Amino acid sequence: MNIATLLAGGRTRLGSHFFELLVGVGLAVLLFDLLRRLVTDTLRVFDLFLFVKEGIVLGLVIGLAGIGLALTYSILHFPNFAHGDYITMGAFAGWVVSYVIAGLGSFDLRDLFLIGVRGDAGGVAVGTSVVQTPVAIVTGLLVAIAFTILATILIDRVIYRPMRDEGVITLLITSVGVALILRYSIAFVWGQETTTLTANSRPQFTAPGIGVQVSTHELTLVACTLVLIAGIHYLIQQTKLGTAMRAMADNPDLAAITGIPTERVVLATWIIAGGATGAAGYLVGLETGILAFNTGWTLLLLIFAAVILGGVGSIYGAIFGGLVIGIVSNVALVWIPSDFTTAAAFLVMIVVLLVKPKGLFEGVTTA
Amino acid sequence: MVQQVYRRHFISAIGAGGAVGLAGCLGDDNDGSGDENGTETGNGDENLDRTLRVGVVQPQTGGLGAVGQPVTDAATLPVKQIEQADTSLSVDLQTEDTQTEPQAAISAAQGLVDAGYPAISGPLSTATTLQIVENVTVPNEVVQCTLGTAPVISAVEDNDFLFRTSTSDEFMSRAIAQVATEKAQAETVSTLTINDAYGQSLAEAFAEAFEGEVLDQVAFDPEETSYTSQLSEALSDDPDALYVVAFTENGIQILRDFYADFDGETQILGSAGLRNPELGDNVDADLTNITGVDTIGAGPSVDYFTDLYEDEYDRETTQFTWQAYDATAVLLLANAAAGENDGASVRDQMREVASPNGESVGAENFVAGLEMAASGTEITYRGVATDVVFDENGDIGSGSYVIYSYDESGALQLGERIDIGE
Repeated sequence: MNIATLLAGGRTRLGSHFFELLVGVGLAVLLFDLLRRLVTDTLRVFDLFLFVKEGIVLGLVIGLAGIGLALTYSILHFPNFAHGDYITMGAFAGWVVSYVIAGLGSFDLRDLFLIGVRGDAGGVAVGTSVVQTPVAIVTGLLVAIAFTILATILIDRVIYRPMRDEGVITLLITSVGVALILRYSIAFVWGQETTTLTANSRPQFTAPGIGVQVSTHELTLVACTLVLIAGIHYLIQQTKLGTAMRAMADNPDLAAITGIPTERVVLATWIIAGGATGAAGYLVGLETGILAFNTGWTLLLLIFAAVILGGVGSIYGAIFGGLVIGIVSNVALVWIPSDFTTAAAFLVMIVVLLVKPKGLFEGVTTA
Repeated sequence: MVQQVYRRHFISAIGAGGAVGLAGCLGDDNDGSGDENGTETGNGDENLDRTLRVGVVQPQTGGLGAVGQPVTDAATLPVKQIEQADTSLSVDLQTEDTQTEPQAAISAAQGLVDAGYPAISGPLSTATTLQIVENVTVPNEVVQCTLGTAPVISAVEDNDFLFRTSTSDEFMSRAIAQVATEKAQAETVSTLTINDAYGQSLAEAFAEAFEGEVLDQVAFDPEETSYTSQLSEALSDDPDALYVVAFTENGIQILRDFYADFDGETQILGSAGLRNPELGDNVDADLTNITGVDTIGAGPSVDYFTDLYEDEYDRETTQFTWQAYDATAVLLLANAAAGENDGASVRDQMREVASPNGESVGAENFVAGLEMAASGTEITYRGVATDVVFDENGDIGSGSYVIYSYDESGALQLGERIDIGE
């Protein structure tokens, strides 16, 4: 019996090492092939750097959007499917304000409210961009954060709080319902068409020697994401609130017994998560320059992938997972046609989970 | 903006053609009831005093709901003309909704067949068309005149009961290949196409029709947040031109990425989706390197139809309204010529009413044309979309396209017409 257990354990250990070895060899082969392509000029250096840049930008978008999902998952213990629509909601709220500030006086208020979906106030006409209308952009970002915080708290009070003790499935399905209600409320007002938000993202900066261009809006997105991550890191690691949140993430019952005011921690969680999510929505709009009623919903699958890849509940994991997903789905174009790149990103996620079942940052730590 | 939604839903459903395909059709008609003049004076009065029955099947809800409604209006316009005219002919119309779903389309068409309608006009998409043909119209010997554009429709085994007044996507690709050579002077072209049946069939047909070399064929997923990497892949062999097959909303994003991350010197060849008067308002760049083609109504009586449609419905004609009018009109003319509400008889008159040597009939004299057809006069229906001449597959052997481009201010310019024949 003992020997049998030992043998079985040994086999499993050997098996998992074998798998890790396989993944390592696979990576080495890909890296070698990448170098070969670069040397033989079947892959241009420009293309590779462009793929990496696009991957980083997409990765930060996904990662920033994933912070809120990771936080709410670790504290409230359910996957919030309405998260994607929180992103859309924040984006719409912020951009309406940006349009009103940028275009007041030159355009009809109603057209500005519709942010170019109908009417004359299109992105190019209003001229929204970081350089041309900085005040409108900064105000829009702040409003997106504030509005999403208020809306998430409201939704929590009305819908999630009464169900706090229900099972995961109940909450999950409820969140799908919330997602649909939000999405189609937005579609009801702004329609189902895609609108162009920004005039342009100039000036562009060209990387010397490589030729890859980086736009002002991409730099803005990177800077804002780093600031937000640093801020959230400080909140969670250095404050009493952060300690309480980590305690709740580890064991909610124990946290309640020790006298942690759980409802107040939940409130704080929604505030941080809502703020990060609203900012993500606004910045996604700024960087891609377009917005539709289902923008967040389309991103949600990738966001979930990033959060799971990073280790559910870890905000650094979410950022890192986002970067992996983003870079893989772009660099994969070196080997496979573009219709399959998303599949490649998910394949990487599955491989990572097979090697490290709890994700890269290993589970619920909120840090 | 409204038009772009139409186009998006519409084209995606049209492209969603199944892989049904077995060649073979009946040859020439052999029991044409009366195409010789003068032999029918006896029953002419009787023919002039009857009720023509036609069913319209179009998507009014579902994915193609938005585009299907104006198309339905156009498809019922010939009936309105008859009702408003002073004629002894009357018409019995029933309209059914396909809900853009194959199963609902079958029920809709079956309802019409059960009620005894000998002919069905529509629907828009290839997928629903194929279901109706296979399950309803051909087994029940009912004539159908569809608007689906996938090449597969030509090859359906239909006992010659299936016709279409829209032109196959193949013609569109030949038109853009011609523009690539003559306007853009491109010897090498790469393609960047949406990764569905519509995009693939256009890209393949283009590769076949283009005289120069096709370098890279890249398909993109319509849900991406950025298309820079895909563009980079498509442009990696430095083609003279890039053929972009996209709907307006992806097209805008692709163009924004193109002008932001690349030098913007490559010529862009555009599909119908890149023709949009609002493109300049959404892409802040010099768009003069874009040329493309889109379908137009270019038949002899298109102007009269346009006025009639706008008066009746108070909105502009949109894509496929022309072809929808032609579909119903030619079915009614064939019915009048056949003299009875019978599918096979109507079928045998479909080519006759468009035979080249008769009295010219168009939208402006449609009711008079019906009376001529009913009294046995040889007529030639000259369409609103294009000249309606059915080949042995029931297809129209020509397509009319308009070249579009953008000026320095970003305004849409419509250029010359391209006619593609067999």
